[in-house]
Amino acid sequence: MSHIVIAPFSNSDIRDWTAAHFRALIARLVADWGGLVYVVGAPGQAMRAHEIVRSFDSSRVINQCGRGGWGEAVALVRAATCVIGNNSGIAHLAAFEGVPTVCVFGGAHQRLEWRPIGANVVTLSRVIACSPCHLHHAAHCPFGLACLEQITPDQVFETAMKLIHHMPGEVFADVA
Amino acid sequence: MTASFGDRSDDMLQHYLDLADKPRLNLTAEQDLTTAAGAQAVVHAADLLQDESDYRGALQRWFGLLRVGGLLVLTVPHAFLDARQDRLPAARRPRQKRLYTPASLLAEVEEALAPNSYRLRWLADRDAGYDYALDRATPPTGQHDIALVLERIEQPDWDLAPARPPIAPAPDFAFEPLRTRVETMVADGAARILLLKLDHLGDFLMGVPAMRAVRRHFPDAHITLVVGSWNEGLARRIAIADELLTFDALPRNAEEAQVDVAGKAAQFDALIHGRYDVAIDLRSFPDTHALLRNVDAKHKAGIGHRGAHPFLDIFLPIDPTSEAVDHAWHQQIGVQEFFALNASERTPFQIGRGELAAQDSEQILVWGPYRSLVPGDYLFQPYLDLDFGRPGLLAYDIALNAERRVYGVLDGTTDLLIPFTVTGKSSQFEFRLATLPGEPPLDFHFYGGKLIKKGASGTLHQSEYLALLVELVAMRLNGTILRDARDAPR
Repeated sequence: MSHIVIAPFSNSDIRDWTAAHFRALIARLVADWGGLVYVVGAPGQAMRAHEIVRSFDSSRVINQCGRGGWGEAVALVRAATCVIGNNSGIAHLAAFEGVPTVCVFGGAHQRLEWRPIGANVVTLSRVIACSPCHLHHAAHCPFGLACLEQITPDQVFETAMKLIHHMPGEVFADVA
Repeated sequence: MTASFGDRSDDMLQHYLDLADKPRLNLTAEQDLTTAAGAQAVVHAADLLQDESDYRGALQRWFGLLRVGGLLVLTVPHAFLDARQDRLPAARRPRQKRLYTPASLLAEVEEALAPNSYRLRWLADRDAGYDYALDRATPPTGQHDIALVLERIEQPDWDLAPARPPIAPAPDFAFEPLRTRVETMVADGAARILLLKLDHLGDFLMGVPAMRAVRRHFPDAHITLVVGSWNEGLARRIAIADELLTFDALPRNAEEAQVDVAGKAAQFDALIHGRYDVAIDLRSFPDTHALLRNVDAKHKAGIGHRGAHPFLDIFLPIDPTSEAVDHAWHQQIGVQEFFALNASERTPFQIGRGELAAQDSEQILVWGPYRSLVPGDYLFQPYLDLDFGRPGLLAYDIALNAERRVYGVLDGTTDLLIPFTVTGKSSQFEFRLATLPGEPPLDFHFYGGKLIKKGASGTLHQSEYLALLVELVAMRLNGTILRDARDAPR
């Protein structure tokens, strides 16, 4: 069965789309897409991964966070139909491997400098005046991480579906 | 061999099952659970979880049957006592979905149930009467499972995740309205390339590695190379072009003739025909970039800043000349990294003399910044304003590990560069300003300085600038050009 990899964590929580958004995205994937969803991450991120996967059928949404080694994570990414992640290593890995990749890019860093590079990558970022702020911790953002909050799960889902179904002209459909 | 602690674990399980009298629900695989939510004192799921595809859902359903204070009692076959395997399928239980150890069972619980909705009361391997002498082909005897007991608790209303309420609304953007960008990259490639290398002999030769790199990156492209007529023979020798054109944008001898590139633009436009995928000006000075203005090319590339050449969409934003001394690196050191005598006049931006009077002995007025330096030759350039209109003297020195190495008296030399050498492995660098005994200090304002490590590695060769431009062009055309939604084909 085909699978999508969700990489919800980075090394700095100011780059992380919220758990609520990831849950809403996974809910749409489970409802409207037929494959498996793997959530990946490091052992130290497992408790936060639990919050994301808890409400889903464990036969559809598989929690790989903290399980298996790096080699297994790479194999999972390589075989994925699509990888959806933050501005983090897994998104860069997927882009490097040519796997269709949707990167939800927060405003802390300049996307022109740090976005994942590859032929099958779509980067979603928010036009917002405070970006790039170069802050390292979400708690320091006075705007409640608006640069990530305002990118909606539906936008990410629709982008992923168009990328998966090879509709490049439509992937670019601009989002208000 | 038979386990000896089994009776105790058996007693414990029964203890938990009996702990609350009623109601108690012994689950079976086919049970309808819709009517019993939130009421049970004990729910016992014996050897069920291992067969559930959705372990999170099963645990949540069973846990949901409990009242606060109720117990969920789980048992599952032990991977090392029952199946005696480390991977599926389980030989005696083909329906089994997962193999369990105490750790993996607890991991499923932690994943399935909300934190602070339960407490773990008991987790144990149960092997009462187990015969470890039996081989794996023989069904196990005695207990061979894992038991886990959870108590449901009243869940507090605080959340483990940190709250991040905004303290201000997100700002609007000055250039464009709030929106989500959806961007991808496009690999345009290049089938037809126009290369300009219009400068003189030496510059042409310094550009050969870059020209060869163009051919290496685009082996199948049709390359048109335009060179000064004096370089035609050399251009044929390097043989990277499919078409060679000559155009004397610059005078052959720049000392004898006026440079007028702009005045020759119409001639150049008449020479260049057809559409190119990319046109690259391989001159590091920007004076020939203007010739690209009217070229019919999807991409135009050169060294310099796009503000001056807005028709360039691929540009290496550097100044390919260096006015500085040979240096490996330099660093500005702000005045805030220096210390000053209390009597000095200090602001965030400068240290001044203040009201210091003449003293019999030397007084250090400014000192710092205590940088640890590796061995090598250095220069320090202090940023100083000195007022020689009033009487006074001021000395400076460089100290390494508090030992004076260079000493001088300021004499009005502008752009003072103080050389010094570091030989020790770890030397604390210090620049100091000091009085001279018996002399009033010169009126001064100190703003920090620039520390320079001498060496050649910080400066690029002209051939390297051009090679970097070609690498940039190749990366962009092979897939790093960012395409915005509004420019995308529909």
